[in-house]
Amino acid sequence: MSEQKKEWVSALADGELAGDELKKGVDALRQHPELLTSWSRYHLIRDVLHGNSEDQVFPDLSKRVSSALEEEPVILAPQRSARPWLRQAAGLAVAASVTGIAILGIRYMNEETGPVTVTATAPQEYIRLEQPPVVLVANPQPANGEHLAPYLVNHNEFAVSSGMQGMLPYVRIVGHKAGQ
Amino acid sequence: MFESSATRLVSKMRAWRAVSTLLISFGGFYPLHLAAEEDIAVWLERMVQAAHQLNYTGTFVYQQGGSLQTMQIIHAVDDEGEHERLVSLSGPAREVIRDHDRVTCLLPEDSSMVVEQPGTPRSFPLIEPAQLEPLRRHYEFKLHGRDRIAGLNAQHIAIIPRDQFRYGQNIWLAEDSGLLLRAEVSDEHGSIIEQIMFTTLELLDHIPPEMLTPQTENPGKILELSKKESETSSVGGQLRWRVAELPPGFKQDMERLHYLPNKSEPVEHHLYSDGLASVSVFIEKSQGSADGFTGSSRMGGVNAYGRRLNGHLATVVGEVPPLTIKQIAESIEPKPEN
Repeated sequence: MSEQKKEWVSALADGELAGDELKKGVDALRQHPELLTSWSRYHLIRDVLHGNSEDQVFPDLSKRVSSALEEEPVILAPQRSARPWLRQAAGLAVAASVTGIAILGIRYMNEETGPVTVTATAPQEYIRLEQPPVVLVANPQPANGEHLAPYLVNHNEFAVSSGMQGMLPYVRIVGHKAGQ
Repeated sequence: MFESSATRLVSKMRAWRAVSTLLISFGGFYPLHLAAEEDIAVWLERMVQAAHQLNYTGTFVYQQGGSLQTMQIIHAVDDEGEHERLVSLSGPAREVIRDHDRVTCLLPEDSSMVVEQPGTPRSFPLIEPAQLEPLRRHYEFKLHGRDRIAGLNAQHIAIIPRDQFRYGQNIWLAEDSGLLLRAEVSDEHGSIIEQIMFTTLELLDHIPPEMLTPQTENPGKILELSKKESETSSVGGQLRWRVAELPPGFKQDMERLHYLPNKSEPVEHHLYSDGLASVSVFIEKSQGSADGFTGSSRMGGVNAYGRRLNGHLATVVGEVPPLTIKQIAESIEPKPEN
């Protein structure tokens, strides 16, 4: 990968490109998916420099919870008989018709990981993590908008309630920053 | 478009009223509660139709927790479909532009993003009296009195959940157009967790295109994939996960695999709904121990819960109470191998 292309990506991440250069930077990313890793790293660097790193975004509590979860013993359980599983033909049809969807936004990764096909990651055995005791959370923390927004936009676009809820789903996204 | 649909809906409602009035005056056998139910279904259908089919612009306030914000909405319909622009008028400049096949979020403080949906026209539900019936198992619908909002006469409808797995809503609809003028979402204790209320609302014959053009200066970084590329990067493959125990009344609406921003791995997306509220489950391969978020979080009336399982990251998001989100999140498990 040429250094020049990496520089474009760096400049793009810093918001320094405009016009034709912006187009070149975006094209470089399109044509060389491997540059996405650099892209993520530049954002991570920028975020850390700006004091906006993950450590600050997420209070220690969630870190502790997640590390506790990681340390939970893994238990191999025998295969259960399949529970009744309602699989709607309509749902499948929708799923088939909407697989042509792509989103590209900005969200950093913390590790360099190459593409792995989903079939390669399928669990071979029926592995279950022992479930942590259920704790009812009375006051969930305010969400980190940057993390939640991509999920929320995808949720909104497919939720049947978007008709009934009208514009409220997007009002939440626009209105979130000041709510923190 | 506006004339015909509004007129059709108004006449439909008048017809219901005329029929019920006639029946009541002639014999009194027509059950009154049925008339009210049909009225509610007509109101809800009007609301959905109006929101999607009218050209309008308005200013409203959005209150959530301790924050109060003013926003403007511009909605237009043309041959291509719907166009909508939502702009913050107070606080940081942020906007969301929705076209028939894409959503652009310009959030300079965070990251801007574009979501494209090639070839999937946005559909919206039509609410007929018969369709209200299954919903009534989980919600009670009440036609309350009239009120006045943004200088317009409004009809107040209460949607009351029958259990703790969903939120309640109070909505106020413009009597003339059916547009939503005010909405409150309340939690399981009846406290209001978020609300919007219009202060001005104007129906227009035509929306000038410049009103739908983003005005946010220095929107930060926007990246978008061309439609062609989005199609070639779509993912085939089997879905590997399921939710073993859904809360009462929820059923699966769809499932698919797709890519999330800046992820090299596809994410599995399942959508569940009780007909009114919905919950999405996203499952992706974990990129490391520090990515994503775990535990509960909330954004107004939306709750989210993240957990790790088998080297994967599950994110559950929906406009339902934390309890519902958590129950769904806790019962995610690999689909049994056949």
